[in-house]
Amino acid sequence: MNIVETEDLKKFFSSKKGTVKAVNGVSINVREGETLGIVGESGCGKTTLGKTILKLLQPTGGKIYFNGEDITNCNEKERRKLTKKMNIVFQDPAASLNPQMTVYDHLRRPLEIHNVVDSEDDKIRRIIDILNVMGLKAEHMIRFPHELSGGQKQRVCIARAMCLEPDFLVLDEPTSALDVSVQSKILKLLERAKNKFDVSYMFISHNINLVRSISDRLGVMYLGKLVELGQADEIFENPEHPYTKALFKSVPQPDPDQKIKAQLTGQVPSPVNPPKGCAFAPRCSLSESVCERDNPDLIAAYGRKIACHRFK
Amino acid sequence: MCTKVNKGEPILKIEDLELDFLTEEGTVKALDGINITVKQGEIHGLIGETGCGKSVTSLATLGLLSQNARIRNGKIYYKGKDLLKMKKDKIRKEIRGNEISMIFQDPGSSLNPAYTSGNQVMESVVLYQTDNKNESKRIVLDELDRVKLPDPEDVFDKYPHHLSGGMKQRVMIAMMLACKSELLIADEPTTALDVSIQAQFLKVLDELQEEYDLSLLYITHDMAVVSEICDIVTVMYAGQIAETADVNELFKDPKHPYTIGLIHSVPGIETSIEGFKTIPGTVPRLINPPSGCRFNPRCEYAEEKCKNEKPQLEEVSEDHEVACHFWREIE
Repeated sequence: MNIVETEDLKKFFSSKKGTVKAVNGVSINVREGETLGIVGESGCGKTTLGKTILKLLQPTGGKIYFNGEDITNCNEKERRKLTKKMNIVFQDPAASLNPQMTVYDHLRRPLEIHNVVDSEDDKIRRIIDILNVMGLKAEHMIRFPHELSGGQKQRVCIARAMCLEPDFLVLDEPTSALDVSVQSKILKLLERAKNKFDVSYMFISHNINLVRSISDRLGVMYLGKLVELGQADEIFENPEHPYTKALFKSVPQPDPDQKIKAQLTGQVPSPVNPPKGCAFAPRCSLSESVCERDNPDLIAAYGRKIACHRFK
Repeated sequence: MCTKVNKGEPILKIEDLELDFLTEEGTVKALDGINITVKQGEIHGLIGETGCGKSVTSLATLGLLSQNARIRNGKIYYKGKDLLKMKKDKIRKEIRGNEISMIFQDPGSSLNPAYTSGNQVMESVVLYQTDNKNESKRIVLDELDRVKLPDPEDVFDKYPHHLSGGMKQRVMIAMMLACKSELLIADEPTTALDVSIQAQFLKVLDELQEEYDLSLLYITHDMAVVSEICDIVTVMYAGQIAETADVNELFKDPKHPYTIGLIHSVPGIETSIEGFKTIPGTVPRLINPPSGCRFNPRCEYAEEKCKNEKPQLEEVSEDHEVACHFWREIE
């Protein structure tokens, strides 16, 4: 059963130089209870995809389904209702908390806005409960963001997203602003919260080792499009798309015996005037004339979906 | 000009450096006896979490500390000369840029947006090599080519906002090469870059190091990057040195409990979420740091002795030192 599904989702931005095709026809689904990892280089549209799915950005084209219901054209009032069921955690916890509000205020608002508590006692009890799940204590309620460490701030952000017990959460680089020892704690906590609240995650990150450790399925994005989608362990074991292969090979491993083997040459082309055919063709060592001419579709191959002319 | 140092000889030697910052809230004891030796021709990694003092150590070396910093004790020798005894003016004229250069984390804010990249590299050439216009332009183009920037002529006339993060970082290295510096301090140079660009950058850095026999102090918090390019690694924790070792030995046979924890908390290719180990507790505030070994409140092996006595660096083997009272007993 799919919690979230998109069909040919598009989000374009207009700029002085032309139309930026940030998300350019992405069909993806998140199943109930799973973690879908999304990886790709900066500017590939992974954050825009997450925001568009949550309707924080109005899509330019395509469809979004949430629990089977078409939410593509829902109005602002309906969208607000949806925030109870789907939410987001951003990269920089310091920037997503209001410096003038205490932790209590941050957690109180969603509960009040969505009318899920009957009394003041009930509200406080629920806030303490969620803080405990996040590894914080009741005493943290009266703290301001500047009195918390980076890891604690991110715990508050996750608590805020989680306190309405949503079905779906977008985690947009939730640990990139944190130290490694804190990062591993947040990951464990996310895993625990997922089992407790029965929530599905879309985990967006450019840290490939990290995504590998937490994802059930994986989507690889390049210049606004999905190039490979399937079971995470299978893709990590045997990446098939030339981009996925090259990307994984560029990742340094915490082991001095394993050095980076190959590397991607050049850089991601501009999304304003993307190449006519396959966007990866200019950097691809296997590219042929057909790659420069036609854009490959995402098709089923090797038990997953791949967008490459070599798999037809 | 300082003399040349032979390969394998210490080029930078920091001894027992103790440094405080005076703040409104109190004295921050940022560094508590730092010992680091960078040898000529090696890439020396300095790793640790936010606030452990790794950047402060590099700024102290270059004489770039803020006004409220107080050096209580210690010496910083560069090719045998104590930098802390030198006048600020002399450091600026003779050391910074000339002998030691630094590249910072964010290439976007290290370059001046109002000048072309060629112009900015030219500044170092004019300062340190020649003031002939044609000659200096040729040198700049050479340097840009050396850092593997595609089409140096084109990059020369581009402003920083035209360049990508990886290209900007390479312009920074070109600048450093133009200064003919022998020691490069790189403070998290790839943190702002994508993995693919990071891989390209690390390769260029590695090649240049070999070609010019540069010495590098590479500051990072990324264990994977350290394992990729460093020869020797020093692990810092809360202003103290925990361990120094050859990179292979550090990953295979870490001795300090903090190093062990750090290595296990990094997701590698084969770790699942269950396989993660975490270090309990958080980094202490340095206004009131724990006594003795600063890691003791978070250490599972800590005993009374760890609270009372600061462990000294002890030799485990050649190129491997650890500051822990109980390293022999830890599995």
